[in-house]
Amino acid sequence: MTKEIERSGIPIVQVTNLSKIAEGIGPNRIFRGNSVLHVFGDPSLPRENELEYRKNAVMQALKMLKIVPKEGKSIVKEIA
Amino acid sequence: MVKKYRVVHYINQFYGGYGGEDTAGMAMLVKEKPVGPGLELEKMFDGKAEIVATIICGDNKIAENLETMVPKVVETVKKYNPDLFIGGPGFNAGRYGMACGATTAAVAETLKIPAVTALFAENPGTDIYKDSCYILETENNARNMKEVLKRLVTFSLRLVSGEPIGDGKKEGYHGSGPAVEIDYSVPAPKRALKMLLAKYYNKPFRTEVVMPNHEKIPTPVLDKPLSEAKIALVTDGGLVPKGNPDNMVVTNSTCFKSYSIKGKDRLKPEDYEVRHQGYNNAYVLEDPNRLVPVDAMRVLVKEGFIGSLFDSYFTTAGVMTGMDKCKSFGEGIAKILKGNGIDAVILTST
Amino acid sequence: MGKRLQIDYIDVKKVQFGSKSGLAGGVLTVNRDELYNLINNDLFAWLNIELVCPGESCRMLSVHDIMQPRCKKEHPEESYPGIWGKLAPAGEGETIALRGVVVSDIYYAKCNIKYYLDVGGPCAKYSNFSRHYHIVIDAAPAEGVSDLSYARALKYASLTANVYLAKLGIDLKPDETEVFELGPVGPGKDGKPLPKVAYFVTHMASHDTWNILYYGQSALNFLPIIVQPTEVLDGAFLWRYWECNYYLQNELYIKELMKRHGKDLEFVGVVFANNVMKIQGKDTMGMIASTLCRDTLKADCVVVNKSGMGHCQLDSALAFNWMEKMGMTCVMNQSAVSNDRPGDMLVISDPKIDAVINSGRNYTLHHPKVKRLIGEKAGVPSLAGIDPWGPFDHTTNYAYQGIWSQLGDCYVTTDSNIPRKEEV
Repeated sequence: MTKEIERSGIPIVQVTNLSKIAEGIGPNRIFRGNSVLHVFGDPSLPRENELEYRKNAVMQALKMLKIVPKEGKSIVKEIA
Repeated sequence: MVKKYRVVHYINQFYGGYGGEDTAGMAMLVKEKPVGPGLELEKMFDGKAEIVATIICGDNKIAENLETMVPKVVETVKKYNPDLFIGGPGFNAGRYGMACGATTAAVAETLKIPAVTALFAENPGTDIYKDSCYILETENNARNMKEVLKRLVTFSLRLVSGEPIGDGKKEGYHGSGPAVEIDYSVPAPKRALKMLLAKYYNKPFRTEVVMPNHEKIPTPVLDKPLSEAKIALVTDGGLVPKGNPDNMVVTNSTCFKSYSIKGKDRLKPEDYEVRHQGYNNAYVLEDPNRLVPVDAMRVLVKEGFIGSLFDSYFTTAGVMTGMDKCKSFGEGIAKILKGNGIDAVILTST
Repeated sequence: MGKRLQIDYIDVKKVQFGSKSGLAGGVLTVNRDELYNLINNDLFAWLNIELVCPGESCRMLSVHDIMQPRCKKEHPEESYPGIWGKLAPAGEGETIALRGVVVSDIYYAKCNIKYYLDVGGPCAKYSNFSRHYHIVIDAAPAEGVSDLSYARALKYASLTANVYLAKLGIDLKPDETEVFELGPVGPGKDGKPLPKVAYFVTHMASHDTWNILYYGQSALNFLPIIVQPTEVLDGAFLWRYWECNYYLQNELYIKELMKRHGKDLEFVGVVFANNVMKIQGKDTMGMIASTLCRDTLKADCVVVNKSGMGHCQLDSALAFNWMEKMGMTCVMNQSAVSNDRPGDMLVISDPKIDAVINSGRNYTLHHPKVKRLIGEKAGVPSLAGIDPWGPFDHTTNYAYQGIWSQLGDCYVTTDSNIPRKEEV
């Protein structure tokens, strides 16, 4: 799905823990999510902190939309 | 005397010398000799092969009547009992590309003889037929015709001699090429050990599943500041409203859906469920925002980090679903996004 | 020198309920009330024991486990050790197996994937399980019983029935005997040593009720371990509730490797790993498994297999790459990557994975209206909104029990030695 959305000219970040699968298929921007089971979550954190965690992760994923990847390569980032 | 391979070549009205658009509706005809690019092709075979027949057809005639015309082409090819079929090359010509792809695939599948064509990546024929037959990569114009013909010749000779062909990335063809014929009457472990021992002893073997050569799409970049951008959320984790009003399936998805998040500050667990069989959805059921991060996005809008959040999210179950379906979902979603002026997307995958 | 396991098969040609349980001349008689009293459990709201005959116009919904009745000949109380029976090493001695009849569990707990099966009609030929008689354990959980407690209780009841039936064959002369033993091997026909082949299998265990147990221990969080091939065949491993354990009892890759031992290969052992849900873990498990194959088993080659869906394709691919990097020749079995053409459901696309067997494929089948339906209340998620009595069209993909197994069985060949009964 990601590649079709890219093909239409809309920038997209795919957020997944399984970045290796994504890398094989080749979308240009991959952000590694926490876990397959809770991509944008961290259940080990207390509720209030989890929203802060999620906000931080989403911000970093969004920032990737402005990056131009090097020729032929995908950008893969993890939450910092 | 070494046997010459018999080749049937397919070309359109233009390469056949009949004209351009004006003759695009011309009926199929056969000349029992090489025509147009076929002349160069035969020369390059250097005595190893001869073009015993060239099938010429108008692009409109065939592209508008694939169901009737393609079988006709196959019938005609069969009559000549060839060792090899070559289509085009078609480069970026859309209708010609459909014709090349469709005929090459049909010949490969029906007559089970070596068949190959050559098209540009964005030719619609490439997309549709790249997993049904060999479509060699070309540029988007016919400038390097000679180079492409040379590659067709080299590849063809390997095909007819039974040489094992590797994956698309290595060999320069799109997708995964023709589907491998599998004999299910031989149990898998017997086939596996045969393959393993061949590989171990450096003998030729053929994999039953070819890794697909996925095309690289040029990267769109967000051309406005994030603070002005309208973002949409998409997921393949199968999140749907409680009660599953559209009967979304848990595997082998047939469609995607969009659901409104208008006025919602966050997704409440009591309002949602997961229709996706491939992962333990307990954490997402506890807090759906872990999959579709509406709460975080709303905060970011409030803080001015992004312009706005689209008031629907898109969902499907991305498990055990064919690539072709996934592609059509992507196309469908992209269309809606463009229609609503969406600037960028976050897609969460499980 | 490996363990020696002998399996004695007794062919069952007909199954019936009767006043006294017994097995003679290929006819299995079951005292239904006696069996009911033996396996019933307070955690069940109700329990029905059904008999389904091959060829019958009968559809079973949510049939989530199917097992061959087996027990240890000398010590039946040690059958399925740690899961049901007393602890004892499995995979040695003598085991009785009844062929032609199976014990099938109808599963009422919440589960993402549930299967159905037609034992008669046009779809029957797409499953190996339509050749068997089924003793069906149809039990729903009582009010307030958790999914895990119910799953445990159901599996225990099913295994109790399983051993009860198998015991009826203890004193009979077997119709066929298979001996599994890995003896020392000499050089091949060309005078060179035979290639040493290891079998690496990753099984999907993702939570309590989608689990694989080893002597009753949950494999969640396991590190890769070396196990004996005969242990897999003899009940040391059990899924609860994922794939049919029949396929584990008759593990086709292990059986083939054992058969070929000493002929064109040397089967050096089995490495088992659990599928991990995080990318870092997956890669690590693949590497550990690879070192076990190379450094402990001294393998030249590895056959890589798995149960599981897209996730596990990745575990297998990562392990495959490590193994090849460490100098071992590999092939991979993929069971669930094709609908119409091999690989149309691949999630990996690494060209280094150059030797793959596609062991099964899917079809869209037309299921007719049936006269008998079992498990109507069990709820099959993929049939939501469809009348399960039929007629309906549906894909076999992770839905039709027996079209293929995740280990590599295919309806075309598995159990093809059991004759198919004509439609009743």
